[in-house]
Amino acid sequence: MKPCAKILLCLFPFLSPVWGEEVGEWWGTAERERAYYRITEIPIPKDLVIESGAFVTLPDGRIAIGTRRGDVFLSSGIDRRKPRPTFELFASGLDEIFGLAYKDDAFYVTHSCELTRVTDRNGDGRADKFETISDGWGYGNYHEYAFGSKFDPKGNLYVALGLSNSYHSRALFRGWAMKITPDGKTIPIASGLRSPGGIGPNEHGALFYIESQGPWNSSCSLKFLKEGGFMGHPVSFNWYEYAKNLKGPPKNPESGGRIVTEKKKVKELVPYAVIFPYIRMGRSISGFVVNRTKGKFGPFENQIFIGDYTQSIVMRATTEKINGVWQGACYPFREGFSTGILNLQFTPEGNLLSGGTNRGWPVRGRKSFALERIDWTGKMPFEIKQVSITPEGFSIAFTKPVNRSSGKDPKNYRLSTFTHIYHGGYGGPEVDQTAPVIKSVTLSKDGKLANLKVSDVVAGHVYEFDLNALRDLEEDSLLHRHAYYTVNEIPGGK
Amino acid sequence: MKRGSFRPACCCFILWLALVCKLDAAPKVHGIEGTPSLSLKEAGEVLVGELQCSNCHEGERDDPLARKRGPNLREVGRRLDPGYLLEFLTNPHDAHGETKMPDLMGSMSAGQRKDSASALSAFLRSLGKEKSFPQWEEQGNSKRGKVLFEEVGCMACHAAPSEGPARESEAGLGSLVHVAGKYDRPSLAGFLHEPLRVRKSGRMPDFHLTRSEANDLAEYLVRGRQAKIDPPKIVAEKIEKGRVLFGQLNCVACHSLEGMPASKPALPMKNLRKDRGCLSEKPQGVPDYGLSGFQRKAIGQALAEGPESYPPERMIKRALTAFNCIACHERDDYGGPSVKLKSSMKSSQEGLGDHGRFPPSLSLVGAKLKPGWINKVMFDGDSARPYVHTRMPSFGEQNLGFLPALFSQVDQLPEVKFPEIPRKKRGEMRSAGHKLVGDKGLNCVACHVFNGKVAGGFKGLDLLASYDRLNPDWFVPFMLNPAKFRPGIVMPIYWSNGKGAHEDILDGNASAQLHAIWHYLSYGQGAPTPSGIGNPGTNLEVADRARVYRGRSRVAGYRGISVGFPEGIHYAFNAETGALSALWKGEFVSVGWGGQGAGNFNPRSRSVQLSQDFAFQPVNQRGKPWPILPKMTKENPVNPDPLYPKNLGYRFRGYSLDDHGVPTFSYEFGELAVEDFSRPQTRAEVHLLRRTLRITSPAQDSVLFRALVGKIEREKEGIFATPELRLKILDGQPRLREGREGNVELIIELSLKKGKSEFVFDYEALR
Repeated sequence: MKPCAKILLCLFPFLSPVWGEEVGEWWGTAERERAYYRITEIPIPKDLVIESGAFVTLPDGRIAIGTRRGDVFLSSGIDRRKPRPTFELFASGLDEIFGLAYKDDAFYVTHSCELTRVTDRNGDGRADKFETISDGWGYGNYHEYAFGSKFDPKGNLYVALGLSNSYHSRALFRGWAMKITPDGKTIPIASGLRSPGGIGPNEHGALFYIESQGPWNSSCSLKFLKEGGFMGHPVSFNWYEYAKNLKGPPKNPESGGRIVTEKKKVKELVPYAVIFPYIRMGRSISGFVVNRTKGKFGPFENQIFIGDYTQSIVMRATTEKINGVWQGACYPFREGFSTGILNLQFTPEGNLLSGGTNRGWPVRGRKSFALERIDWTGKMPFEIKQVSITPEGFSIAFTKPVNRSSGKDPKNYRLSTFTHIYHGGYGGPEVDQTAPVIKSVTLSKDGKLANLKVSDVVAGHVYEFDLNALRDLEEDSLLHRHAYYTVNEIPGGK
Repeated sequence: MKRGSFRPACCCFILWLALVCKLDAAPKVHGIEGTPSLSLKEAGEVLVGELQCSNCHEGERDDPLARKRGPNLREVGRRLDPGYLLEFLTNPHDAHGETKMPDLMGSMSAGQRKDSASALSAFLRSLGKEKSFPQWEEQGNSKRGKVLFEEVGCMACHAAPSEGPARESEAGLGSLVHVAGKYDRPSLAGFLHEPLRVRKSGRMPDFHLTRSEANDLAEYLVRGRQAKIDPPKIVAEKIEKGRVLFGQLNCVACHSLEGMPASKPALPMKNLRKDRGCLSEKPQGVPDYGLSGFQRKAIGQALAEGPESYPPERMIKRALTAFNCIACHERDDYGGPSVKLKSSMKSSQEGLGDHGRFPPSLSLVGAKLKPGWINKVMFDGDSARPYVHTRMPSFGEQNLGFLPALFSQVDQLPEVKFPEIPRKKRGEMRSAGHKLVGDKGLNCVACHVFNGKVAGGFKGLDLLASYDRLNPDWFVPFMLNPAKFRPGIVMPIYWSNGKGAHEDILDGNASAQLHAIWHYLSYGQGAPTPSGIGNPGTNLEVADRARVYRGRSRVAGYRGISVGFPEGIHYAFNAETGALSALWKGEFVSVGWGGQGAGNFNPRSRSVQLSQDFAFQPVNQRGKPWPILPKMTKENPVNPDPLYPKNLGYRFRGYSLDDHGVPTFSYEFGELAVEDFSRPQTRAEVHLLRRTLRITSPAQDSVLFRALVGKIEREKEGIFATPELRLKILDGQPRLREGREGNVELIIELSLKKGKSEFVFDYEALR
């Protein structure tokens, strides 16, 4: 492998917030996006600081907000056309909340020190019981954040544990994911995490988490959290002796190769399911949520929506399982948020609530904390709805019919690929670029599905689509021209 | 006064009154009279748009400025006083002289007029769902409402409600005298909170009032009105008659209602002539707008000359006039607040001068601001000047969405393009910008907020927003000479003749320094805080109940929990080991909520540090060294004993709060369940913390409790002290033994009954 000077230059950016770095420009699509998806600021009363880290919707329609300052607020009225919601302080004094679930009148709060069941026994609207459900991990460095999921159908919760100082694993199970069962057992399920930022099911119900760019991760990615799996960063292997349910540590991956070759040698290694090309698609992707609004949020039902902290943007992702391995695509969605996005939640009315803060790391948005709501205006954007892989290439679904003259011309589908070096250095460049040839395009009768036959699809590469030349029936171009598909497997056993 | 029946006399009276008092009773269209910004024809076109003429008379060209809709009537019965509604429908000009709604019943007799109005009123009041309009029960505060009225910007268009119809001295201001008869406080508050919901055309814009502000303002405007608007009574017959009339009178042309037939078109616009139809001096059988002579003349002129397509700058001027933006903003040679309005405009940063008090000039605004920011300010309620009390209201994107693009098209400054900075030089440029902005450089932070933080001087525009707001085309020439663009601004010139004062920074070169500042600000949140701005910790105060705050702390480990009491004695509990690990007097804790770290806490006074080791052992371990917390060092940073003290049988179970917020911690040691709570005890001016251990055991048993470690001396029976702490043992068998590193350990054997046993300890901090 050629050593790369760029990698050295961006070593340890998060360790030196004093000399931050360029956060990257936006896509430049905000002015067009607002016709389809409006951002409405949710006003926060002057005396409150709400650095949202986690959300959950209660059965009565209120939305609970867990904050970095350790408060849980219950909010009503977020969905009103002109929101002036109330924020009632339900609980306070917790330690940096990045997970909030709700079951049987109780909140399950994942914060740095533990998973706590929080209840209000006397019914005065304020929490008065804080029961430790799990503290089955070590905590010895401020950067050891813990991210919690919602309940899975079996009643399990999952916690993703960041490394010590984001580079080491000095306390028990740092860099691991844990399962907490309904009877209170804490079970380590996977090693190799680096700096997670969100954990939960994908659109098919499989457990995913997001990983941040850094050592062994040249871009941020969505990853399938496989029980018994190794998620790519080997520094956490030292805790396998405390994970009696698992066999010993995997073989150490070799730094400097490609994940597609290393995963053949290290059988527990789970490849990135969806790579978010660094800068172009976020710099610190964060909380994600699946759109189950039954069409209220527009054409992207059953898709993953995912925030980015640094760039204050929201993106989409879709996944599919090919030959038993998860992979999929990501798409730009909306830029122009006011603060670093830490988490997202769909509201009862089918709007998307985003929240976060700019505390601690460089952020594009200029507010130190904010809640914003994204509403679909009802207008149909012309968008790449979904890219899927086929044995011969890819199929691309659109939200609106593509006009036939542009849609049938293979020249209007520009495709390039790259992969990353899988290595222990911080981040890394895009390498091994190729420019695949599109042999033919078939456009469906309704103009909403294009089937691309592509020469030589290569596993381990990210396929970047640029469809700027396409036009819809009104001769408009796509709202976002790009989509990025990560190929781990090719259907049909190729 | 019924205008229909006594019209001739009435007209003479009004003419006389107009001559004598200049009473203005024509439809109120702000901004076109007394401002020379528009030609007579353009004024006429604004009137044609504002009076919605094209709803009946189809024009050749769609004017983006024309109002398309009258108020939404769907909830009108819930919003308006029934008496007022009836009066208004009977004769709109009598009820509210300045209304833009025409009298449509000029040809009816007084009796017919009355019956028709009553039927229409019944029909309108039957619309809408029960409780569909917000009915807020909270009381408003009229005094606060008055302040809002005077400060947020109402006075740009309206005279104060008590002042009656607008007089000559404040020409152009609309009257609000009718408001108290028209609304009650809740319905007016609902309207003020969301005016665009009812009036989508945005002429009454949304001032982003909170609910309580809307209540206060409404309370002020209804001037003590108590009468509530009753829910409508349904009289089916009348309703039907009203529905028919609503169609016949062509009300649907301006007020669309579901289920009503389409409106009936009248003569196309191009066939209209001055002094005819609605424009006659005494309109007969056509809508009567009560137009003034000027208005008739202006509309006539517009019709005579016909439509024309205007260059963008004229479109801007027409839009700023039609929406009365010019009441607050100046642009080039027109607009700007009146002397009276200026005197009511307030700022919380008076030191910033008039530019910190008045809404900003719109001259060159399209060259100055990035389009995204203009949109945010115009339509999303964002603001860069929180200190200006006058608010920038939202007129609705559907009404003014075309304006930002026109600004960018018209307003041009010579392009400024900063050269790409070579990667190697970026650090130097960033650091130069950082230095210039801080108090060791140009000290921009003396007057400007930086990332929401203040250096201690003024709180001017947040510098960090500059990169998102401004175009470089504006930034550079403005910085070189602020007063050229904004005469009277307090901001000085920092670079004269292309030279900066700080010659040590980039050789004092003006364009290099400006480039450096721009580059530095482009880092947004990543821009390091400039010198002069601090980032203090946050003090947590304890009010009338106990306060619990969790976080890492040097006094309680990473799973620390601090407990503060109103009595001024506080302690910290290490949940990882079940140890009461520190106590202190005075103020509670300060919390680090800056930067990346979770809010670690620090006692605000020097605390008494206690051992953080797990404090229980079985009695059979009596002679053994006490097991202690594993230690990590720089050389060996990995926890060598990560299960401690769980491997000793400890499990933390959480805590519950009593009615005073006092926590009881629960944990287990093997089969023993421990409840551990501490409370202040004040005895003869001595502040104590009384700790109670309530242990539930499945059988009669004993357990060792290590109560204290250090230079311990026995003061007397049951009382032990270190130089910092006195511990009184009220239960159990204490014994001193030698521990590690020359310390003494106080170990107490607690005898447990089957079931619950209780042990009490008093901790007294000696400093």
